[in-house]
Amino acid sequence: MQAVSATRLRVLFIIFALLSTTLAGKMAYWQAIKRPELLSMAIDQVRSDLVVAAQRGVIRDRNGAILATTVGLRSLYAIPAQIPDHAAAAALLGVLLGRDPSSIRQRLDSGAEWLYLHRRLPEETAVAIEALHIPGLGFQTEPKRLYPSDTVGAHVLGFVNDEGNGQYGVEGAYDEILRGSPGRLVVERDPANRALPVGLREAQPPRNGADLTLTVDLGIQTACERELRMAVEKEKATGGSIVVLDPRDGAVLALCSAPSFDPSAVAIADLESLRDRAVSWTYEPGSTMKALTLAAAIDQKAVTPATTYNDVGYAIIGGRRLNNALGRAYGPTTVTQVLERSANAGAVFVAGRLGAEQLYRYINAFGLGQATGVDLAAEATGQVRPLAEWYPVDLGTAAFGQGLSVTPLQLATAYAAIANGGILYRPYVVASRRDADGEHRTAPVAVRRVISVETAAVMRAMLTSTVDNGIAKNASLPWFSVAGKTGTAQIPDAAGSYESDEYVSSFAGFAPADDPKIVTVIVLERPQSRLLGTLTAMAAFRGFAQDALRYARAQPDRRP
Amino acid sequence: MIAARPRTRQRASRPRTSWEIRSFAVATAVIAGVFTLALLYLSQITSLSAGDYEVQRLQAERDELRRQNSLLEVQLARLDSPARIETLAARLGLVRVSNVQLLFPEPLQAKR
Repeated sequence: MQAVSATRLRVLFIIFALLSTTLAGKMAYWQAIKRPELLSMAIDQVRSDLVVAAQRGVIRDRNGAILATTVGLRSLYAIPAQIPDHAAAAALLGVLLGRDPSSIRQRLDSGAEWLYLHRRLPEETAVAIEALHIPGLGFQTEPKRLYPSDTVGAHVLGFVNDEGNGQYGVEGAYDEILRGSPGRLVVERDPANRALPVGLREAQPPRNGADLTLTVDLGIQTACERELRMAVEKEKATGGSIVVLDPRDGAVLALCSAPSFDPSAVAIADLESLRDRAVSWTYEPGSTMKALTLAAAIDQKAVTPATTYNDVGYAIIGGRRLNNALGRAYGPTTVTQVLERSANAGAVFVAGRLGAEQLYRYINAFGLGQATGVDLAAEATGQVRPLAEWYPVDLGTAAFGQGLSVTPLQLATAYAAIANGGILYRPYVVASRRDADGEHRTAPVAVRRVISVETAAVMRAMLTSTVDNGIAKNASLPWFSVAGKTGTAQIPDAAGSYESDEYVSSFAGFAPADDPKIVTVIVLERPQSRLLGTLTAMAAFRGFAQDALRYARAQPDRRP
Repeated sequence: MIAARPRTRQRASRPRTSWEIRSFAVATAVIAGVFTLALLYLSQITSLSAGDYEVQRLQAERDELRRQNSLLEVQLARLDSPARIETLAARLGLVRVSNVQLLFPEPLQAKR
């Protein structure tokens, strides 16, 4: 009996010893050998490593009005298993989201554990849904770029795509500066997803994007867009654009293009509407070019405003006959009257006195055929053929704006040089940027002197006479002197000729004529009234110029 | 000689009792001290946690208020937008002034 007990005890001892050894071994295995793996699994369960998005900078107009800003909007998500009645929830959400309840029900019944029902809701809708207190529904905040003025300034601003990249306009050109750089946050979290106070915490704060203040005036921009829209609708034009500059430093006060788009709904926008016709589209300037030709000739003292020639209705150059519009013959005509009557033969006469080499030099000096350097994305350069490729007739056609192409912005900067006393400024849109280091103002850039102060004064007087007594009479304003010139240009076709009976109508000018505060170029593409399209362009100028001059605080210098 | 013995025994038992009591007292004090320190540490940790959760709650509240503020700024910009005001004015039947009269200071001064 005692022997049996001793044996049992030994067996039991051996079993316990084996079990203890196995347990100890297993514990040693997990605690010593597998420790790093277990530790990493444990940390992964509680640690969250997040990228903290930087806030995209705000874009404001010159008076501080918000043009573009990023706001967190709430996105609605659902955990279907926690929603007690899918049909009832879908019915309620359908009304508030303006969607078919059956499609919401279908999504809730899809078997997904977690899903978005609607991204970036308007705040009122989010508040209304929150008030329903439906279990299983929740909100997550996501950034959304908002444009409070809707379509106003769309082409200046550009837009931000779904990936958060700025495209076109200021959003595209200043994307790096606006977007900032993201930060990082590593924390340990409790089951309620709250950061543990005594746990691991590494934080690298994001660097928010810089805020930009533009030179654009929202009031002038709105007035320009209104007039351009009306002009394009009236003329059933395929497109149009208006540029307004401050001639004293090249600041862009307004820049609009038609057709336009809504920067908040780019997905449904027509691709052609995204093109900024003021900056990225070129056309032959037509008779608006005559002012530059005459400025060059007067600056070179090749002619004076009083120089006279006999206008027979045409000019022959390089063996080609270049006619006045409608073949009119004006007889003895002064250089001032060349502008007033927009005589092509007169422009050829002046160009002949100047010579091809000098005309070409001044065309380049006025900045045609080269990018203005404006701080906007996708600027076109226009085309001016090298002098070596010019035929003799090109001297004549270039003098009245044929055979070369410009952007509306280029022409506006050239007219600004006449308006400000002869200096070509680089146009700019961003007046200042504010970041963590403070405010950085953009210094205006005077590119070069193109014509003398005296020539500029003579040209201002001649262009004023063109509005007061000549072809641009319809651009006159009751309280302000206006200097300007109309242009009607043919449209080149693919075969190297011109389309028949299709034109680009334009008006380029500035006001007040003696102390200009605004320079503007208005262009209408293929107006229905053909040769009379300039009348609509001038009407558009009259429509916004009074507002623009008031916003620019210009003193009236005329009395009706 | 016989009378002296118990005195010796008394002298020998007194230090032992005193040592035991002292040891007990020291041990108790140490345990109580450690316990108090542990309690103090736990209370600090608890209040730190509570404070941190409160900070997190306040940060979330601040972020929400900032978001609401941004939304209000956007709403204000929308309401101030000249295009919106023009549209509303047109809806109310208002028309643009065709002839603005301006007063010049010189004639007024001459009249005075």
